[in-house]
Amino acid sequence: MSTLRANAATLPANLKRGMRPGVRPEDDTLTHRMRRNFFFHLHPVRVATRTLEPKATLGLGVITLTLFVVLALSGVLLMIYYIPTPGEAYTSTQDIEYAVTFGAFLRALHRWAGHAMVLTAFLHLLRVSFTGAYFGRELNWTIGLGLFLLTLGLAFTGYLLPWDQLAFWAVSVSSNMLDYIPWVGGFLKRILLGGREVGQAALIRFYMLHVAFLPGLMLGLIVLHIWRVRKDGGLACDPEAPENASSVPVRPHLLLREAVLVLVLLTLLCLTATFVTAPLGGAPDIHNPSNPEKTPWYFLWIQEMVSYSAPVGGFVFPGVLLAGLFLLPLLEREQEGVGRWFGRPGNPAVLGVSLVMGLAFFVLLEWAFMHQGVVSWLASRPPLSRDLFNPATGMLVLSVIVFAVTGILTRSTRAAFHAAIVVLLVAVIGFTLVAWCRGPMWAFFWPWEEWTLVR
Amino acid sequence: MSDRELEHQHRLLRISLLVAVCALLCVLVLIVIRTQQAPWRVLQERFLALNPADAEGSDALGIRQYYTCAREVDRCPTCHLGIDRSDLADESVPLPFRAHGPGLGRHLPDRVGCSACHGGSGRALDPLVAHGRPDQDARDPLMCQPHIQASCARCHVPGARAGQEYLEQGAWLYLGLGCMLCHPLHEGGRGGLDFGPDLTMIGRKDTDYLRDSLIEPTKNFPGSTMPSFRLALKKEPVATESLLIYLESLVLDRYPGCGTRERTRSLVSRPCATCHAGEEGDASGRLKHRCPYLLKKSDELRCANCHATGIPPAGRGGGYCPLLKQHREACSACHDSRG
Repeated sequence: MSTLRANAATLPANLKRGMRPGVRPEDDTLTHRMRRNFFFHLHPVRVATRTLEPKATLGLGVITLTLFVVLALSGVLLMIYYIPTPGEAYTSTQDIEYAVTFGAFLRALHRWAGHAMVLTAFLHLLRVSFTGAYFGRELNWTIGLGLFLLTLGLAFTGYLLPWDQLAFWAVSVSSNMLDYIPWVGGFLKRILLGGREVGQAALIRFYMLHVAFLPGLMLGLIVLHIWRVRKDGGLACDPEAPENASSVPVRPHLLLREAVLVLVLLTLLCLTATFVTAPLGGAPDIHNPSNPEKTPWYFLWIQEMVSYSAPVGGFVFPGVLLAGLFLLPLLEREQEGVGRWFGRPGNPAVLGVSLVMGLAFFVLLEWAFMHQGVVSWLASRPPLSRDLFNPATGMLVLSVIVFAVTGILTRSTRAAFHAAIVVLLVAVIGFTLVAWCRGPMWAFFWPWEEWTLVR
Repeated sequence: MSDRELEHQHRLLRISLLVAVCALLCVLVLIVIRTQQAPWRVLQERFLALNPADAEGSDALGIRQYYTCAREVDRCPTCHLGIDRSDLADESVPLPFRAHGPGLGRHLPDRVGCSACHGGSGRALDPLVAHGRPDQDARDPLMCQPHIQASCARCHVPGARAGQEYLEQGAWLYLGLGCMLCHPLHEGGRGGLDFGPDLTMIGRKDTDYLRDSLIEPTKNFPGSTMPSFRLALKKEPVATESLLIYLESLVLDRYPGCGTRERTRSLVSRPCATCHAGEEGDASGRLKHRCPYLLKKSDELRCANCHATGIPPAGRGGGYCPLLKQHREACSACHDSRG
């Protein structure tokens, strides 16, 4: 009994020692504590003072990571109620939305965080591109690209799960776009859907991909991604540049900033999820496709290009974009201005010019194809002319021209690549906005116009 | 950045951290409060204020639902708290709490549910969604009289029971106007003249769309060759509604509820008579139709145009007949595919 009493008296000390095996009392110094802390393994001990400035990274990596954690936690909670069978997927989603306590909040949180993650991952990609931070980090750049594709995959597979009218037709039309990939497209579609059409097999595959396979892969790649950032010398900066010489300890300077950012983000997310409910349409109806059938917003640009030319929009344009992004750190190896926005001081002006050119050419192309009867003229030409003359090919050609001209004039590969990216960015955002405005029969309506069946 | 600047920022950041934590906590509290103020909870409190006696039992509060024979969930009684209470049938009881009117017959709410007849989203607790207003895209609209008659066709032959006047008249009009010449009523079928789309699921469309399509077909389909029924229907609002109600009935599957199951069981011992309350039918032999309902109507229906016997057999042709469409399954309990 006396031993028990003695043990009880030293319980706090024993608990502290027991929970930290192998730590001797004399090791309990700041250095040792930092070495043991999980969060310090994500960070170096010191960071360059310059990278603390908000404009250096815009905090996009931290935001994306936070969104991933939010999605994982809310997703696990949603899994408690969700049933992945065609008969019960929709009704169980209705139950989550209407009957489960905090269910509507969780669903909205998961949905908006998912959409936000696609956006922030994309912005993160742009930030790394335009600051030239990929220099000498080919592996991590490739991992990052993979993470971006995984984010798209997760968002897309999650889109089907509510199994409502919106989800059913959006996934049907998106998976049909796989057909435009030559040779392997049809095979990929069959693998993804487990058949020719969206049905029971597709639902269980999407569910498996969404809750197990893709998040697992993503978690692994995120760990690798963050580890490589440390191994590659910290946040985007050239360690030899004089402005990066001064540094500060991560704790408290970086950690405090990250904590504030995460908390503000969580507050905004919770507010959005409370006041903006996640959409839930009617039960899926295979007899009545919605008109227009639209893909999720992050694939709208592809759908818009496909409406002009399937091979270019569905394969050539996205393929060139992806290949170009993959090759970027291999072909563009200028060390000057790494970590600085747009590299050399003269480059922003160059990018401004290419932005204006891209916008002007895009508007011209859309105007020509919408009002000037170009489409009907092309319809009377051989089929190949549709693939050669369409807005997607036009923007692709412009980006190549801008790339070559900028390269020759500025003698900077970075300026050339950045200019080409700006033009392609205009194309992607432009096509997305145009497709967003499309109404029934894929006719164009301004946002303030009412949709009518007959234009 | 100088040391002093860093120090200043550090102080600012610590204050912002405190503010951010407080903001997040406030938002979390807000979420809990909003959940407590859901419309159905507010309604239930109003109900308890009006009927203090119900506050004693604890089962009046919370989500109440009917789990129907068709394994559907209808949460309507969560707000319609007096729907099955005879003591609240009076007109003076405010609307969401009043009991259901007379005429339910054997349609017991706890077996058939609400949405099987009324439409709407039975699972939803949000009043807008549950009542399926037309602005709620593609959700089943709430059916009021007389449109609720469309739901009768889920189990009953149009006109076989009282209270389906619109539905019955609609079915006759469908025959009389010659709709079935072009529009088949079986899935994947083609019309007699080989150009009308199949109308099996047309009831999914909302009422306004259907009305437009009837009166001015080119409004929804510019290239439509369907004649306009503007002149025929303009002065006949009841006829238009009847036809609309019949079309609305076309989407509905047979209600897989308690009635069907019982009927199927009894079909084995008492074929036909179970469905058609008349003399006992005889299912042996080629066809010995003794269904009084059909016998009575067969001349009007011009059954002989399609059926050599003069009285419709169940096995073939039945799919085209708008009066029998809903009953094919029941017929096939006696008649196999060869008739």
